[in-house]
Order: sequence, then C-alpha cells, then structure tokens
Amino acid sequence: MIKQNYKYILFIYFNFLFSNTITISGDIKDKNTGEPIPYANIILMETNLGSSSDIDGHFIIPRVPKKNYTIRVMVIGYKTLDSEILKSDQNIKLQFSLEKSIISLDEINISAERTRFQEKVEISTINLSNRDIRRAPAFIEADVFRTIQLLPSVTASNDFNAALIVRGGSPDENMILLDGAEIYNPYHIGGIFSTFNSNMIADTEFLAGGFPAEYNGRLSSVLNITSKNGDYKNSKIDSLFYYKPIKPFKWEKKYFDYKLKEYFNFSKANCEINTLSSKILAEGALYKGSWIFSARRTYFDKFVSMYYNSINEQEPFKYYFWDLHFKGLININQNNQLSYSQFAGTDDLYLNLGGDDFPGIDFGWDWGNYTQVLSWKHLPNSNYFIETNISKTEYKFDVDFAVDFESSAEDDENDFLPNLNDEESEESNEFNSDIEFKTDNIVKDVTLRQTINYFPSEYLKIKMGWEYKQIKMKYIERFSGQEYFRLESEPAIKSIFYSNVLNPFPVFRINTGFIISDFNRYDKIIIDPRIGLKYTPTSDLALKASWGKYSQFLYTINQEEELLRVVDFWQPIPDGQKPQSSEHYILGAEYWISEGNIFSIEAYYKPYMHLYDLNPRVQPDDPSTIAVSGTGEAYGLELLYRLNINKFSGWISYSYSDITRTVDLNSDGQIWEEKEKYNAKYNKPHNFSSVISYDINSNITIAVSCVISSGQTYTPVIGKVHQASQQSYGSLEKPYSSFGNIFGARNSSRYPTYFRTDLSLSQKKKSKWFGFDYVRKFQIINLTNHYNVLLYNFDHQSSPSRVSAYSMFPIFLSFGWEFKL
Amino acid sequence: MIKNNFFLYLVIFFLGCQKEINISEFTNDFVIYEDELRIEALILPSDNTAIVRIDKSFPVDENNLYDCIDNDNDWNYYHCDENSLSYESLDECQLNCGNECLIHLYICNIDESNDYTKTYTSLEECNSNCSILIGSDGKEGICLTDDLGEDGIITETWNGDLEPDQGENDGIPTCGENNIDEEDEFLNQIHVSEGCNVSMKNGSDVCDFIFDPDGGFYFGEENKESGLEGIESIELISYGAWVPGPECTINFNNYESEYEFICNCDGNDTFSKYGTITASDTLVKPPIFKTYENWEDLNNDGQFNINIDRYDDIDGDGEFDGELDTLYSRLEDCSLQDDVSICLENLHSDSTFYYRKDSEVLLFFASQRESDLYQLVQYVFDTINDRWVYYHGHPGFPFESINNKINLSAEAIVAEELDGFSFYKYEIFTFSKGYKNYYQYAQLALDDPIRSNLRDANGNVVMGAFGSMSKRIKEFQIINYPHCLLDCDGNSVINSADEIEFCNWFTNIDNTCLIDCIGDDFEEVLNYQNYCEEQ
Repeated sequence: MIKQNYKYILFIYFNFLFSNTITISGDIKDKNTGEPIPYANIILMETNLGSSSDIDGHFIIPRVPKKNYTIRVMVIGYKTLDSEILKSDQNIKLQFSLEKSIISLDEINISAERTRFQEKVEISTINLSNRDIRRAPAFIEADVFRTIQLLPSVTASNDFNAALIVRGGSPDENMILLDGAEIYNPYHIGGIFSTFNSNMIADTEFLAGGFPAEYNGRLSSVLNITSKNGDYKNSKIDSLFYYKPIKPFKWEKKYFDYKLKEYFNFSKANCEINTLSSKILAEGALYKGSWIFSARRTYFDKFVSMYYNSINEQEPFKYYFWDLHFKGLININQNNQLSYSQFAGTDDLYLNLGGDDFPGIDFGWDWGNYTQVLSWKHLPNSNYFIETNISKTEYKFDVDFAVDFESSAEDDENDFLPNLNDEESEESNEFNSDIEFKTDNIVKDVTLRQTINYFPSEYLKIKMGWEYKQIKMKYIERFSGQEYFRLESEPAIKSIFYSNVLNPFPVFRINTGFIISDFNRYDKIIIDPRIGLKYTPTSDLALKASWGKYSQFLYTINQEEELLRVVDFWQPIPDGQKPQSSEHYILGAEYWISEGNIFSIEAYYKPYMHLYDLNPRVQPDDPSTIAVSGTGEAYGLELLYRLNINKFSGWISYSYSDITRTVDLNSDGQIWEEKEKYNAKYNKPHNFSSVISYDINSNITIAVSCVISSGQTYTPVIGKVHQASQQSYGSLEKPYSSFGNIFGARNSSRYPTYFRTDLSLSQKKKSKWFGFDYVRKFQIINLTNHYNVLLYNFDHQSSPSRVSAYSMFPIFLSFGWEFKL
Repeated sequence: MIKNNFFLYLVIFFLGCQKEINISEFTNDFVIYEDELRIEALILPSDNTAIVRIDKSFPVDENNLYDCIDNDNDWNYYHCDENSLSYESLDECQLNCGNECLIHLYICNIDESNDYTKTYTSLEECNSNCSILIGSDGKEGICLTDDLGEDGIITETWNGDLEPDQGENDGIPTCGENNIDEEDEFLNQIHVSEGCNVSMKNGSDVCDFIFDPDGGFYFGEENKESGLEGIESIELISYGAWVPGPECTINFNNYESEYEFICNCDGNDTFSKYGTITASDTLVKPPIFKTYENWEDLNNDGQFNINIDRYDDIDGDGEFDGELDTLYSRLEDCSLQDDVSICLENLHSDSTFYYRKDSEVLLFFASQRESDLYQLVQYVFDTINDRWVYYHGHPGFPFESINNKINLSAEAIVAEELDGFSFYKYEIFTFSKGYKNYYQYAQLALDDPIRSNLRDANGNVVMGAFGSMSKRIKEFQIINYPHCLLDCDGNSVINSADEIEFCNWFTNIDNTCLIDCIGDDFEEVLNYQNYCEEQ
C-alpha cells in the first residue's frame, strides 16, 4: 500500500513538473434560461481527468495531455452532452449549453448534492436551494433565515427573532453575505423576517463551522447568498413592443431590432400576493448579459391609513418595509465578465401616542441596509481565474422620540419622520416639540477584494487573495437638540489569505490555509490557520475533521437578554484590545444511503478566548469602557438525515449542545461562580427539528415542519425588595417607589419546552381567464396552538406576586397567490 | 433598551398572548430563598446628619404585604346611617354611632372641591343628588369614588356600559383600586425596626442610631381626591428609619475623612445570622455653582441654545467668547492650584439666580474630578402652603473634565412657571464612592461585591450601601421681564430681583430704546410702568 502511494505521489510530482499539457476550461449554462449550472460533472472520456463546475457554472481541467478527446458533461436534470475536442497546442475554452430533461427538480438537487458530497472538503456545510426555502412552511412568506433555523446547528431565540444562533454563537458572529457584500442587519420587522427575498435567491450556502480561509472576520458561521443571474434566453420584447398589424416603418424596425433588443429585453415576471405583502420578480436580457430585479413592500400601513381616513382621525401608527434588489451581468468578452448587484431595504415605523389630556408623543424609527457590489471576473483561457470586487454596504437606524405638551391634531406626522437617505439633514433636523430624543447609528463598509483561483493540477486547487475593508461607524444620542453621547470610529482591516485543496490520493482530501490580518485598532498581526480533512473509505462514506482559529474585529453590544433584534449596534473591538477569537474542533461523518438520502453526524467543540459584551459598569464619560471581555465554551453533537423517499423529501435533525459563558461582569478581576459563570441565553441542550414535504400529485404539495427544543434559559426571580425610582439616584426622593426583582443565578432556569408545528399547502393552477400559471398557498403556523413562553413578567404589587406569561406565535393562518407573467 | 422593549411589547400586543401563571409553578426557583437585609446607610454632610434605612426583602410568594384593605382609611368615609353626617375614620364614626358604621363610597365634588358631608353609598344615589348641585363655575357636581377598578379610572365601553375592570363599581374598594395598599400602609412592614444596634464611627467618635417611625419622608404623587390641584395637592409621606440618637455628638461633615458603619442585628431572630455588618467610606465635597455675574450676561447668554456643541470650543481658540469661557478659564485656574477644593469654594456663587421666562439656559456647576456622578433634584416653592415641593429629579454627568482635576457639568433649565409658581431650587448632590457604586451600577445584582460595600461577619455581601451624598442648593427665580426690556440698556447692572431697584432702573431708562417693545411685550412694559408708578 505504501509503495503504491509512493508511486502515486511521484506520478503527481512529475506530471506537475514536466508533462506537456494544456488546460481545458469553460462555462456550463442552461440552454433555456442561460442561468449557470453549478456542480455539473465534466469528464474527459477514456481518462481519469475531469472536474466539476462551481457556483457560477465555471470549470477548469488543468494539465490535460495534448490529444483528441471526447468531453462529457453530466448533471442530473439535463441531457448528457458529449463533445469532440481535437488535439491542440493551445489551452481550450468551451461553452456548453445543456438542455433540460424531463425530470423533477428534486433530482437536480440530488445531483448537485452528490457532487458536493464527492468534491467538497468543507465540514458543517449545507446548501439550500430556492426550492428548499420555498417549500418549508413559513410565517406568511418563505424566508431563508427561518429555513436555516430548522437545521441542527442552528437555533432561534424565539418566534419573533429571525437571528441565527449557530452552535452557541451570538447572531453577530455570523457573516451574512449577499453577492459578496456583507449585510449588517439582515432583518425586517424587528427580526421577524430576514431582508432577503426568497424569489431572488439562486443558492444559499451555509457553513456552520470550520469554514475555510477565504472567510475572515466572524467566529461562528457564514451564510453566503448568491442571487440569480436572470433569464436572458426567453426574450419577449418582440411580442410586447414589436407586434403591429401592419408592416413597421423602416426606422421602427431599425430601432426595435438593432437598438432596444440589443441592450435590453424582458423574459418573464413572477408576482406574489399574500396577506402581508406583495412582491415581484422580473428578469431578462441585457447587453451581452442578463438582468434580474425584485421588489417587495408590505401594505399593512395602507389598510391602517384607509381606516383612519374613513373615520377622519389621525392614524396612531404606521409601519411598512420595502426592499429592492437588482443584479445585472455583462459578458464583456469571452474572458471577462462584469456584474453589478444592488440591494436596498428599509423599515419605517411611526407611532403617535397621546390624547386630549395627555402630551402628544411622536415616535419615529427607521432602519435599513444598502449594498452595492461591482464584480469583475477575469476568466482567461488558462488554469486560473481572478475575481475582483468592490462592495459598499451601509446600515443605519435612527430613532426619534418627541413629546409635545401642546400637541395638536393638525401636526403633520410626515414632518416628524426623518429622512433616512440624508444623513446631514438628520443631524440638523429639529422638530417642533418640547422634548426630543434622537439616536442615529450608521455603519458604512467599503471592501475591496481580489481572489485568485489557481488549478496547477488535478490534485491541487489553490485559492488566495487579499482584502481591504474600511468601515466608518457613528453613534449619536441627542436630547432636546443637545448632543450628549457620540461614538465614532473608523476601523480598517487588511488581510491576505491562502487556501488549497490537495487530494494526493483519491480517497483523501486536505484543505489547508491561513489568514493574516492587520487590524488598525490592535498593534499585532493576527494569524488564523485552518485545516480540513476528508477521507472517503468507500464511495458512500465520508469522514471529515476540521480545526481552525477564527477572529472577529467588530461586535454588537446588543444585550444577550434581548428578545427582539430590532437593531444591531455595531462597534469595533475597543482600541488596543485583542479581537474576539475562537477555535473550532469538528469531527464528522456523512453516509450516502441512496439517491438524496444522506445521514450525517458531527461533533464540535468551540472555545471562545475573547468575547465582548455590554459592560454593566460602563463609565458614562469614557466610551472605551462600553465593553467587557470574557470567555465561552460550546460543544455539541448533531445528527442530520436528509431524506428523499418516493414523494417525501426534507430533513430530520437532532442536536445536543451545551453553551456556557464566563464574563467578569463587574470587572473586579474575579469570577463570581453564581453570577459570572453561566449558561448562555441560547443554551438549548436538546433540539429536534424536521421539515418534510410530500407531493400529493404533480400540482399539490404539502409540507410540515416541526420543532421540539429545550426552553431557553432565563434568570429566575427569587425575591423582591423595595427600590427607589429609576431616576432617583441616592434614594432620597422616592426611596420606596416600587418592588424590584431579586434575581437568582444567571440563566439558571428554563422556559417550558418549545414545540411548534407548521403546515403549508401549495397548489399549482392555470388561470381560466388570463391563461397564466399560478400557485395558491395556504399556511398554518403553530398548528397545535401550543403556548410557547416568550417571557415572564412579575408584578410584585400584590401578595403573593403575580406572574404573567407572554407567548410567542399563537395559531396563525396565512394565504397567498403567486403567478407568472 | 427602552426602544427595544417598546417594540417588543408592540409585537407581543399584536402577535402574542398573555396569561396568568400561578406563582407555585416557580417554587423551584425561590424555594430556598430567605428574607434578606437591605441597608441604605447614608450620611448627609450638608445637613450634618445621617439616615439609615434597614429594610427586608421578601420571597415572591409572601402573603401579607398587600391585604387589599384601605388600612389608613384615607378615602372611605363612614356614617351611622343613610343621609347622616360622615366621619373620616372608622374610630370616629364608632365613637358616635357604635358598631353600625357604613362605608360611604361616593363623594360629591363641586367647584373642584369635595364636600365630605355629602357622601353616598351608591353611585345612583350620588348622581341623583350631586348632579343637581351647580358650582360657582357653572358646572354640575360630579361623583368621585375610589371604587374604580384596577386602574382607578371610570371608563365606559363604546355602548356606554362600564368597562369590565376588575372591581369596577362593585361597591367595595378592592385590590388594586385607589387608596388600597398604598405605600404608607405597608412601609412599616418592610422596615427592620427592632433587634439591631446601629452606629457610625468617625475616628474615635461614635454615634448610635435609634429607630424613628418618621425618620424620613418623601413627596407622594398628586392627590386628586384632596380637592387641591397641582403641587398644592402633593402629600408628604413619612417612613421609618434609623436616625442619630439623642446622645450623638458626632459631626457628619468631616470631608475627606473616613466613616465606618456598624450594624448588628443579633436581637432579631431572622437577621441575627449576619453577625456584625460593616462598611466604610469617605465623604466628598459638594458641587459649586457658578454662573452669570451681571445682567448683561444674563441677557446675552440667556438666549443661548442649549446645544453643548456650541460650547465645544471653550478655551479652544484662546479667546474669551463670553461668560462660559470666563467660567471655564476660572475653573482651569483652579485646576492648577495646589488646593483645588478651596479654589472651587471661592468660585462658588451663593446668590439667587434669575432666568428670564421662556428662555432656555444652562445652570453650570462643577466639582472635583472624583465626583463624576450627580443627582439633580428640583423643587418648586409652594407659596400658598409656604413649603418647597419636589418637582423632579434625575442623575447627571459631567460634560467636560478640566486638567483631570475638575469636572464641569450643566443642567438645562426650561424657564417656565409650574402652576404659576416662579421660585425654584436645585439640590445637586455629589456621591461618595460607596453610594455612587450602588446607584451607578444598577445593572449589577444587588448583592454584587462592587455594587454593595456592606459585608457581614463572614465577609459575605449584604444588599445595600454605606456612603454619603453632599449637596449644594441653588435657588432661582423665573422673571417675566420682556426681552425687549432686557435688551434696552445693556450697560445697566441688575443683580437681584429687588422690585425697587428694578423700578429705579426702569423709570430712568432711555425711552428710545423701548421701540423694540411691540405687541405683547409692549403690554408687559405698560404693566411694569403701572406697577412702578404705584410703587
């Protein structure tokens, strides 16, 4: 065996150095839509050489001996394509367009899954397709975060919070990428929804740990969302604009034939209407490329307006959110591709409180994310390609709270609503009120990144690059026009990374890499090495192991106890302090039972060396004391069965975990066992979840999701004692204002077991009147109306004290229509 | 956090459900909890005294504090039989009527004052008698009651029915209703008044404390049933506390010297387990006030917008731009002195400050660097009852540190009159370390070793704190002189509210400078003219 391996290594080495070879590269696309086809297998017949396409449909087969070949492109769901290649002294670049076979979309997913199973070294990785997300039952509409929360590595804080808790990490430890741009607060409605429109998503790659060196700056996970490119094959502009009963004039023909169609065309649109919102997705061809656009807006505010207009009263509140996403892609030439992606989303909340005998209170709150990404992909006819992108992300929220003691009904609430798009006007904006509180928070991130993918041989793949990230953060609080708190910082992170995948033997792959980071608020260079191993003793069994060190330079000072994550208050690590860091130790096994049936088991251990949290001893005149540092530990075991049996598909998972924190909260240099070494808020030892869908027939699908988990921890109230009023420091004014809680050991109690079952039913139909296809959807959230406790509230103004429980979602029905144009 | 909670409750309101849970379901959480001591031992150097509040905590399933009875009878009036006179207390009623006393639940309110002789047992009866009485203001009498349900407010549903508020108009004042289980009814149950020896030491001097059932007081909420309005109706509520005994000769104002607190409750069965509780702390000096020195500055600076941004360049440009720069410059000089404390005291201004009505001004105060937390308490002078009444209070923080020796802070004053009263005072306190930690670190647990400096005989933390709060008082008056008048003669100096001095100045003023006085301002000037002529 050793002798055989020795020969094998020698073969690789000499082949690498001396052989007279060329590189075959290319792209694989859908013949019908032009969308790239990822994870397709490309084989040079009668050799062992081959490759698979990446998420963009690109492939490279390096070091191919010069001779004639038959190349075969295979992917389930498409007709296999064979093509002859004649001997060439030059590198060869190919373009393949595959034709769909009559096969279910499930089978296409299975094919992609099999390719990943064979090729990928990454551990703890799950890819979710648009179809996976849209099939899972969801609150009102499909949501990528809610679907991910059903995976074994992930828990949700509560029904109202879409934030991802990955293997005990707080939500700020997750890197959320949309077309390569980082999103800092990916939620709508205070965390009930994610900001991503599921219709627009092509692929969702979720790495729950052990992620490779190309990802830097987060401790727990990576969620990499890639939007669709758009269908540029089924252009309909002829039928829309060029239809004429009579022969067109010469200039008209010239314009439509050679001008408009050359630069822009429309292929299809998809609309969805449900009880909360409407959204549209449109796509088509662009000059040498494609475009896709999606938009969504909620309209609950419109109903509220209509109602209050009808009774001639000022509306007491207004809330809506909207988001837009556009992506355009242009193939400049055979070797260069340019793409531009832009996302904008905003939430607006306005409340008007008060009455005839009460001061008028205006409450305005808006927050949003804006991203722009310009990417240039250089795909030379060689064994490498380069991706360069510049991205700009902006996240901001501002809160206005104004009290007017002489308010009048004529006050125009629109005067109050701040303008999110004009930072300077916000700062100078003065409202006509007696007391005003205003908070502004802005995070601006500009990142320049370049990645080189190099394939020196079939046995070695190298990915390396550099990144420069410049961030501006500003937080301001004002009271009655007087600014009394300001935090400003400009953290910058320079980093280089190197990662390679080596498969010296067919059964063994190793992914090694490192990141070197220079953070401008810390005087030492940070090196994060990472390694991943994969051993496949049989074709259906993969054993994996991974170790890595991870650093994070920004964090949110949201309190761990918070139930809703309305805003993320991002801050850089305090000046001169060591960045947050953790290590991942992961062992796992995957077994390919049959087509689409995969069982996996993973165990992990994740120590945290430096964690920053809100300091209970913050000094008001010293912003640098805002954070306190601590350590943590998380370990667990996860089981996942992805099933595909007859008409059933989905997954069943179970996880066991234990997550603890040790933080010197009072900064006295000692750890107080009872209060400073505690279960993390997210510590839910047992977590079972499943998502199963069943195709009743080709038109009707039913899906059921179920979650049973340990209740979340909380700090119990064990006693009560009178306390001064909140503003009465010194307790001379109101020493016995109310009873306050005496708390027990931190996070030492648990809410009752969480249980929720959701059901969704979708039916494809064809409109009798308009002729277009549509889908009817009907969903029930918390089918059993199980009372899941969100929080307890103690009222000590009675004997004995009264306790009220507040629940998460009760049973809830929603319905909607989705139709295609 | 306030914002987060606000949004949270909004979401819960729309999407969640609330239900009551029996406290017994939480037994595992508090089953081993025993009553604890909470001690707030506070030296008040400015008044040369101290007060010690020794109270106890309770498990959440205690059954005695809230008995749903109006123990102090501050609403229920009693009568012998229907249509007879009412008595304010059951004892008084029984003295006259024997044991047959009935509760009067309703009072007729006429001219916004209550006629306690006209009380009724039912709302119908009250309405039929009271609504026909017309007050001097031309309004009908209305019936008041404390039988108002949990929220204390009579409300009707859309069809005119009474809102089904628990206990609403059921003829019995019940739990949660007005005047039931008020603070002053159960405070004596939470005080530890016996079995403890309490003392303070300063050097070799020792002061023993005794329990006084009325050792402290605070201002209650506006009492709408008193028949009075606004600050006139605010009651003084007393509570029990340990105060210096008659033999105590200790001085409580030896600044920058250490005091020790000693408490032993061996005579108390429940709390003897603590042994001797001790703590020590050092007094700190109060803040000093410094502000405008002449009328001209009041005139100019009084119009400052209260945006501290405008003061950001204080002394930054090396030029004195006004009174604040002068103040800053003087504080800076003090910061360079060997004895900062004495220099600050010399800067302090004891005089009453005057602020023009409707102006927005800053009241500046400064302290030594170690005082970086203040409590600001505003009182208004109730001229009718000849007393100071609590208005509002809140913590304060410095906005400028001068050479790391002196902290400068300011309170924004909106010069508006409350209920027509124009005299005010601020009491601004500095904190010693022990008391500062107790309040500033409210996010920490009550028994956190940083938050509390009290330790029992075994070195365990006892809830509470020992320390001091030193105050300075600044009185100020809101004056209603029109702005045009103040602008009129910038060279004149008026540094008091003395009407004679004002009238002397006013009658000699150059009339040409009054041309800016138009409209309401002109009317105001005429009023002053008449007033001064009468003088």
